[in-house]
Amino acid sequence: MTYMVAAYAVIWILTFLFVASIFLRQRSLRSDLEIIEQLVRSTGNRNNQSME
Amino acid sequence: MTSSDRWTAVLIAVAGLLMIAAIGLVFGVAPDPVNLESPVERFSQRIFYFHVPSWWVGFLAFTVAAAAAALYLITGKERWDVIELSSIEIGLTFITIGLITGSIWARSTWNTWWTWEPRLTTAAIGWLTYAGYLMLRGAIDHPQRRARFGAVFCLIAFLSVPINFMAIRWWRTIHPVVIGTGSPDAQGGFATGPTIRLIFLFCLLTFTLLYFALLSLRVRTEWLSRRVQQVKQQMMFR
Repeated sequence: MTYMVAAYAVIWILTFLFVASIFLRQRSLRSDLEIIEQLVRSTGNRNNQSME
Repeated sequence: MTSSDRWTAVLIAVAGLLMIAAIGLVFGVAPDPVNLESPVERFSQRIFYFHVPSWWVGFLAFTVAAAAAALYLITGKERWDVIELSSIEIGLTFITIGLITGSIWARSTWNTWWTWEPRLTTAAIGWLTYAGYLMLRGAIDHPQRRARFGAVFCLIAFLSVPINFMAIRWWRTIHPVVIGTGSPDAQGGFATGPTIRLIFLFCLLTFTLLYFALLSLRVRTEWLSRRVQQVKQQMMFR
């Protein structure tokens, strides 16, 4: 029974780690994109003000 | 939430529900094979329901990746490169699961964690080849060159899939064959009645659906990653 439990534990842990890694990557990318977009907006506003 | 987001969520939910059903069938309904006498062998045999589908997902993922690689080389469209990379990551994860669960099953049936017989050797070579694919991609900076080299490498690596699949049918090996006739030296084989076959097919279907759910999720992440890279580069050259 120990072998069976060990095998199923490996299956669940590795699957969970893979799915979690995808979600974590997605979350970090979304936050990166948000920061970049904010940066672009603030740079655009500064440029507009200096042109005025 | 876009419609493709919704489809991904539905696929993941259905795959999750089927997985719960598969666990119920494996531990609650599946009978013990009649030819296995020791309790250790009978318990370990249940690894089969998730071990074989893990390899199936690996082979399916590498086949999809090879098709995408060929299409990338023909058309040069980025979408095929994204599918190729995503599919290989999933395939590598599942053959890692297949290798580890196989090794645990081998310990209980063959009394060893590993032996250099044809199936296990070709499996190890396949794993190393696809791990090499990810390392190769990581070592090339230029996006088009990375995609082109990756596609060629992926097509060459795909040779390991039919060799690995046929290893237990071509050569003398101790690894048993579930479908078809295997080597006379095979140890740990068991009789598959209709219930065992049906539950096994259900597990295969569940893992196939899980593969497509993960592929959809991984492809979306890869597109997002490329968009972030693109925006970063645009910012740098402004």
